[in-house]
Amino acid sequence: MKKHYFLIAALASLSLFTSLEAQTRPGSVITATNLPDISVMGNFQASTVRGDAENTGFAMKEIELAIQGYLYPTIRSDIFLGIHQEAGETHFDIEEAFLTFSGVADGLGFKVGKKKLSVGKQNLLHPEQWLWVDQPRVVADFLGEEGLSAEGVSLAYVLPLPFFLQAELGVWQKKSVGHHHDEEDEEEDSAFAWSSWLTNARLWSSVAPMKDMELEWGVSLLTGSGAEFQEYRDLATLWGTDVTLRYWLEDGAKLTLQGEAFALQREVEDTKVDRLGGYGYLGYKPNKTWEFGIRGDYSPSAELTKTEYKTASLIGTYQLTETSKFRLQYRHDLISEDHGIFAQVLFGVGPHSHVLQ
Amino acid sequence: MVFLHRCYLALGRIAMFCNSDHRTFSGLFLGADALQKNQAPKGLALWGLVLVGKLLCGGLLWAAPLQIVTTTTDLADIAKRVGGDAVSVTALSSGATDPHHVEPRPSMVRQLRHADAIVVVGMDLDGWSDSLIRVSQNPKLQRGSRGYIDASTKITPLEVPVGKIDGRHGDIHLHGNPHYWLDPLNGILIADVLAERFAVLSPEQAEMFRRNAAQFSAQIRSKMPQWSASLSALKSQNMVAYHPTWVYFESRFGLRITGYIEPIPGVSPSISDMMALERRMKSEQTRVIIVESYSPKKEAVRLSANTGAKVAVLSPSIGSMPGTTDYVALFDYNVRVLEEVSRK
Repeated sequence: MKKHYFLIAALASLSLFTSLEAQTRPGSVITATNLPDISVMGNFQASTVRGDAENTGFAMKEIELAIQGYLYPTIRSDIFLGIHQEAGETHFDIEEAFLTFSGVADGLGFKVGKKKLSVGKQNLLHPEQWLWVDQPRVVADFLGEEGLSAEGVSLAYVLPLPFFLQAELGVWQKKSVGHHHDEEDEEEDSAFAWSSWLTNARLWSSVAPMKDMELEWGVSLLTGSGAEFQEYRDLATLWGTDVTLRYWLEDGAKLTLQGEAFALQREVEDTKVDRLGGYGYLGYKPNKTWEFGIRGDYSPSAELTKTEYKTASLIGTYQLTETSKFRLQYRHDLISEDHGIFAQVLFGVGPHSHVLQ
Repeated sequence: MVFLHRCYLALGRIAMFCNSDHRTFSGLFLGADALQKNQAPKGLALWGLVLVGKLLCGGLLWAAPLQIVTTTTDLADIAKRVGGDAVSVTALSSGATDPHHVEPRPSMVRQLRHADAIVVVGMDLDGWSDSLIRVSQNPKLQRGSRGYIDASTKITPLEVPVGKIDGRHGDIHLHGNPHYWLDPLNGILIADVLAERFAVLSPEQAEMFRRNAAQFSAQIRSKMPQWSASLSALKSQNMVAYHPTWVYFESRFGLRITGYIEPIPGVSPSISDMMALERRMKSEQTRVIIVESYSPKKEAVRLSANTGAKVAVLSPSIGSMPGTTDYVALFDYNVRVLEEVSRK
């Protein structure tokens, strides 16, 4: 593991130094460079959760190093390396590393590599793109605390229609369980996780019913095996639907209504599990810097034993720059009556971009 | 021939189901409605007419109009002027939006899906269009292809930073200040770029594009003396602006913007910043405060109340203020507002 840290630190230092040196060469107005966009994102959190000592205190949750650029006019490379901290341990992870082939044919493109799967809206996003501090519980339960990523290939086709509709199909291999890939963790981790071969499909559409309004919706399907497939028959199918309504008001104000619902079906030997969960968010952004929102979560868990989880959260965000934010979230558990307060500082250095969502 | 060409343009717009024109959307469902109402012969006749029109006029006689998408309304207007009837132009953003902060919307992909070209401001101002281009999967628009047109290629950039830049410098652009279309003579250079690039996309129309660009240039040059004369009274007056949007405008007309409400680009002023600017405005006898139509107004109003300077709300892009319907009208409006403010 130490080799990993050394390697990533060396790579980052070298890349950043090279980039800065190229940009600051004296005597030049604009120096042409052949370097990718390099950026670093930090996610620092302070939290207090009643009855959850493990999640109380300060935590440098993640450092993400992104290296992005074109290697050919229609081929782009996006690499996101992550260093996570959880339960006092630090883990290195290739969060995403994929090539995007755009416009291979009219309307058709594909991606290869390791990436977050197009299952709903939230799963594709990185923490700095979230509208909240914590992952919605249904996404964490059905797809993983940091979402579901795997290695494979996906095809996307934008249909020739009078409105935007993209169909996406992917085949993936999830070689390990969870996101840390430590065998010790796997044995201890009894939580539901996707594994082995996975296929996903998603229809994604968006229309502008009014000049200042955007209505976006998606339908997703994910099929594959659960983590126990090697010992038992463990088949899983996940249906998802997501709707986002954004309405731009005067003076840069914006209203956002977003919701996702998932239906999970599992067959573990003779046991069948049907679970339905989701979340809804209503946000108001009075100007370009502040956003206030409320989110409701419901998840029945993906385990064989059903455990319900219902929460309501109040969220306030101050956006300093496109990638730097301060956020405060209060979460109330409607079943256990526990409270949690989360403060988050997200900071970004360097040019950073993600897929359109 | 002209009549036939016009007929073709009308039919072509109906036939291209996925272009940006709402009339084509209606056209598509006109046929569908007819079929639903058991008026199949009428619906089929319409489709037949469209198909024949497209084959005859589009395939055999003339090329279809180029579908051009621009990131801003200003580029859209210049593209229309250069392209004439040979292009159909759509702007992704409205002039009322700060071009730095346009939120790319998936519905915009529809316009890019069948576009022949996208025209961008460049200089890192409208990088938000990159994600839309990628999702559109349109091979014609990918960076480096013939249909990716950076309108800034002929202009001489101002305020190009030297040395290391980072977050301490605010929202600064590596390739210089990107608000270059606010110099009318840069509008001529933009038109030249478009004429050249449209000619590559549609060589048979090259002469018309060149002619249109020349006409546009002549119109701008004919207006320049009038605009300069109207602004002459302001040349001796100190002004402040909210954001460095007017650098090219200032440079072209010899104006004097001596300070900005934003202490550094993109960063809102603190109380101490405001007090310092207020002192400076008083000592320099600043007479005018320029604010973009989409920028916050409260700081300008406060400075105006404390210093006696007049606030001029200018239009940085076509459509951001009433009457700014085209590129020439944009300057007419801004010059008129400044002239009025200077008289107060």
